[in-house]
This record gives sequence, C-alpha cells and structure tokens, in this order.
Amino acid sequence: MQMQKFVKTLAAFFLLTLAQLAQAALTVEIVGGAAQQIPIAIVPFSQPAARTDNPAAVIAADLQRSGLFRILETRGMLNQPHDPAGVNFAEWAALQAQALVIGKVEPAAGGRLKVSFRLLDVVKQTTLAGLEYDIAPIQMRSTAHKIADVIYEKLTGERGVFATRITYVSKERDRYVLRVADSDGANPQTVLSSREPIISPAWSPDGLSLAYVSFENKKPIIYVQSLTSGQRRMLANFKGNNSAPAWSPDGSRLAIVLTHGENSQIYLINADGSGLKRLTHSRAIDTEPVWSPDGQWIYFTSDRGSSPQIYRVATRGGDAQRVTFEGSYNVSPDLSPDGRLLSYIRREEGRFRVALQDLASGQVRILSDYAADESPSFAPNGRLILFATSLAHKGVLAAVSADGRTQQRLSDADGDVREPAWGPWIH
Amino acid sequence: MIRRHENPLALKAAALSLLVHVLFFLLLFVSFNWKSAQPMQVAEVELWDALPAPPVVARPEPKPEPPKPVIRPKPEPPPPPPEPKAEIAVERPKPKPPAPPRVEQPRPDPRQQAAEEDRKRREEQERLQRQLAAQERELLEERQRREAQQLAQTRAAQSAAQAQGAIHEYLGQIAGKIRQYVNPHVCGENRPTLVFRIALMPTGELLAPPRLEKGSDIAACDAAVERAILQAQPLPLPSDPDLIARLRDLRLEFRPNE
Repeated sequence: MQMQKFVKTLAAFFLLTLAQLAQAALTVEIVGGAAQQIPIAIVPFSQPAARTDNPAAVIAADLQRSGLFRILETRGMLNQPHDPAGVNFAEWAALQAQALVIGKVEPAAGGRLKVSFRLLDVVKQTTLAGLEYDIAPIQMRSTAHKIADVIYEKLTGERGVFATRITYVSKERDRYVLRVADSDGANPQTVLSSREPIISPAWSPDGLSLAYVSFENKKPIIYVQSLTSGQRRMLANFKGNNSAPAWSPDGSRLAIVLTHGENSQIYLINADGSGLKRLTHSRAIDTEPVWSPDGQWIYFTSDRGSSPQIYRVATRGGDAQRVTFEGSYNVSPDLSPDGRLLSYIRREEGRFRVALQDLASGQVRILSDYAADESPSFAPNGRLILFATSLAHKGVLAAVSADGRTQQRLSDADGDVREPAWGPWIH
Repeated sequence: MIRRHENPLALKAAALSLLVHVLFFLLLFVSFNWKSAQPMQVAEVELWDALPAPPVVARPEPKPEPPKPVIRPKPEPPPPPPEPKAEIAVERPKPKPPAPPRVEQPRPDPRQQAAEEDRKRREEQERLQRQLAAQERELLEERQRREAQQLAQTRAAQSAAQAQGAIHEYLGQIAGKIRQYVNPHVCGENRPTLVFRIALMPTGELLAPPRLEKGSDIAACDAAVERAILQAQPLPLPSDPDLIARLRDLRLEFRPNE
C-alpha cells in the first residue's frame, strides 16, 4: 500500500514537472490564414512529338478553375524534370511552389499510351501521389482530368470533380442539340439532336441516364435516355405540358411538372413511369422542382405569393414553406450536395445573377458578375456552381466557386448554350 | 473483558517500570557520586572567576594579571566617544588594544612626557581623523555600492522588460510570417484548432520537422499547415542568444478558420 502511494506520488510529481516543462515552450497563436491558394508548379509532360495535347495544360486549367490553386509559371525553369530523379527541390522551393507535378506520356503496345505522373511535396521533399494509366489516345483528356482529381484530393482533402461530366442544350443554327461534355466543357458528345426544342436535361444519380423534355412531337414530353446504350423511353406524356424532371437521390422516383390543362403543378412519378402522385396544390405556377440530398424535400419555384420565389414541400406531402424572402424574383433552385446551401437566380436591378443562400442562417450572397445567368447547378463536391449566361446575345457556360472567389467561362462550346446540369460522380 | 486482559499486563508493566526506575536511580546516584567526588572545588572557583570578568579581560589575562586593572581605566576613557562610530564599523575597536603598549613605552622618559603627550594627542587626533575619514570613505563607498546595486537592479528589470517586449515582438513576427502561408480553404467548414511543436535553430530554421500535437481530423489541412510552417522558414529570430534560447521551443496554435 505504502509502496503504491509512493509510486503514485512520484508519478504525480513527474507529471507536474512534465506539465511545467510543456508550459515552458512559448505559444504562438496563428488565427486565420493569408494564403488563398495552393501554389503549384506543373511541368509539361514529356510526350511523343506527334502529340500536341499536353495533359499538363488540362490539369493546370482544372486546378486553376477550382479557385484553390495558383498555377506557377514553369516555362522559365531551365530544368524541366519528368522523373523524380531529375527534380531539384531547391529550384522549385525558390519558385515558392508547395507542390510540383511531373509526368510523361510514352507510346505503349497496340497504339496505346502510357501516362504516368508524380505529385511531389516541394516543401517536405516527398512524393504525395504517383499513378500510371494505360489508355487509348482518345482518353488523354479524361485521363488528365483524373490526374487533376488525384492532385486536388491529395492537397485539399476533398474529392475532385474534374473527371465528372456536364450536360447542356445547345442551339446550333436550326437544330437543338443535347450534349454531354467534360466538366471543363471540352470534348462535347451529342446525345440527341432535334429540330424542335429540347429543354431541362437532368442527370440520373448513377450518371448513366439523362431525363429531358423534348418538343419533337409538338408538345413537351419527358424522356429518359441511357448514355451507355443510347436507348430512350418516354417517362411522362400526360395531357398538357410535361416538364422539368428531377431525379430523387436514390433514383427510384422523379419529380415532374404537369399542367393537366391547369397551372403547372408538381407531381412525383416512379422511374418506370408508374405511380403518379400530385405533390403541390396551388392556383399558381409551381415548377422547377429539385430534391434535397436527403430526399425529404422538394424545393421549387412558385409565384403563389404574387412574385416568383422559392418554396419547399415535404415529399410526403403537406403545405409548402417559403424559403426565399429577399428580392422580388428568385427562381431556378439547386441544392448543394450537403444540403446546406441553396443556389438560385435572383433578378435585381434588371440583372439576373447567381445567388447563394445559407439555409441555416438565411444569408444570401450574389456570386456572379454577369447579367443574364440561368440554371445554376452544383458540382458534386459543392465547390463550384455551373450556370449558363448570355454574352453578346449568345448563351455560354460559366462556373463560379461557391465561395465566390473565382468565376470563369468554360471552354467555348458551339452554338447558343442553355440549361447546363453538372453530372454526379461516376463510381 | 478488557480489564481482564489489562490486569496481567499492567502488573508486569508495573514490575518492569519499578525495576527500571530503581536501576535508573541507582545509575543517577552512582554517576553523580562518582563525578562529584573529585573536581567539586575547582569547578566552583572557575565559575565565580569567569562571571565578573569582562570578555576583553580574557585575552590579556595570560600576560600581566594584577597590574592591568590599574592601567586599563586610563586609556579606556578616550574610546567611549568613538564608540558610537565604532558601532558602525565593528572592526574598529580592535586596533585599540595595541594602544596600551605605546602608553607603557613613554613612561621611562618623564621629561618629554608633555611633548610626547602632545604628540600623542596629535597623533591620536590624526588617527581619529584618519579613522573618521576612513569611515566616511567607507560610508561613501557603501552608499555608492548600494546605488550601483540599485541601478543594476533597475537596469536588470528594465532589460528584462525589454527582453519580454522583444520576445512578444518576435512571437508576433513569427505568427505573421507563418500566417502568410496558412491556407484556410482546405480546413473544412468547422473551426478546427491545430497544435504543432517546433524547435528552432538560431538561424530561424527548423531543427526537425514540425511535430503535430493536435490535428484537425482533416489530413489535407494538417499537411497544409505543416507546409506553411516549413515554407515560412527561416522564421524571424533576434540576434541576442538569450532571447533566441527563449524562442527556441515553440508551440504553434492554429485556428485557420477564425
């Protein structure tokens, strides 16, 4: 007993001494941070002379667009390494780079290519990531996006969205074209082309199908089309207008807008076209439904309060609650993947701009500097918002970071671009 | 029950105690008798002699016991006045004993006694003056010493305050420099607090990689803050080695989202 007591006392004494020693070190408090972006150097990859599309350019543009990276100029560097062995960290540290990306594209058997890269921590002089891809030459851009995703995730801790895809409708001469493109707007693929309008494309949660509204039969009908097989089926062809499809998070149902000869009202329908159920009951126009990520609510636009505002209604049914109160015109809602932010278009002083509302606090920020924005759509990681805007009477794609710090146009698509929607991560 | 147990013990104890007491008294008696038998008288004389004699007497005793009581009263009167001064400097009274030998020497020459006494008085005065001067000098020195000490203390306090100020200034500079490199955009939506420990070389560079004491639960955030520390090298440090020593081990507390 006494021995134990003695040991305890001794231990307590040592702990006290240790604590005092620990207190001996002065504390420096560093609140906040002045660095807005991660400085990164991306050396052009070595590649066969015939190739002109260097992955480094795509990676740099992706990271830059996220707003979280500052791309350092590497052309002035005498030493342009492609292998870790060739890297002189001091040179890159002098450039104030925190991270360095090097890589190479090499020919592989069967006309394929081997793309390899390394992400290096310049400050700690370590390798953060390194991968090798065996690809068909046509996959070069998507591979570059994948590399950008790896870099983004390694350095920010968040999953990147560069390898995801977007969809939009483009009016080209006398045709309406439904397209799917890379997240940067490049590499557009045609899903459907029609002389009649196509509107409201919506991604299925698995990213394998699109629902959209086509006027090809002289009236708006909702179709669902597989992106893998190209096959499509009619989802809703009820009396009156069928429009504005939106998939539930689990993909089992869709919210759609039907007129049935009256005002537009919101309905729920199973993905196979069965089980139609009316959700809103108003004398006003209720449209543009979107699901909350938890599947509990439908947010939509309604002019039931005389001016168009955003409301929400429980998917089980019930009364609608108004969500936007500032301004006289708030339309086209989209919810962030975490369900905390609501983006929509606000009209103020004759300008239509992307707004972002914190649902918990009700605080609203205007994110865009343009004047004719429409259809905001969150990236799957919630960091960027894709939208269409009109420049020189032509619709173009633009993206703004959810913190409002970076805003830019995406690579020029042909035609007059409308109604973009950002696709999900494809697992 | 208790009594029954106690009784036999008590009897034994009583017997033992009695025995011990008897032995003790015997011992006392024997030792007392044995000791008192021889030096009783000597002890009495010694005690009585020692008590009336002043402590000063003790030293000269071995030399001339009977004549000194006569001589002493004469030279002693002069000392009383300087005594209060002597109290300040305790060492002074000691030189007095040498005086008697001087008094004894002039005695063989009675003619020059007046002149001698005069000279002696002058000498005595000079001596006293010297003594006074010495004491004054000593007092002055003492005062100067005290003032110097106070000055030194004030200066030490001032320099300590200055050092503290300098420490704070450099802590601020260090925080400022690291903050430039901290990127709060990779530290999530919450308000994490991260703690790193670092050890610095006098050059302001890190002696070893920063040690993460408390993370943010976001690996990218922890790594970004660590990179910020590393990239902020060299951290601003003073040139004074004492100050450097105090800034050598630092605890860095980050609240990037505040």
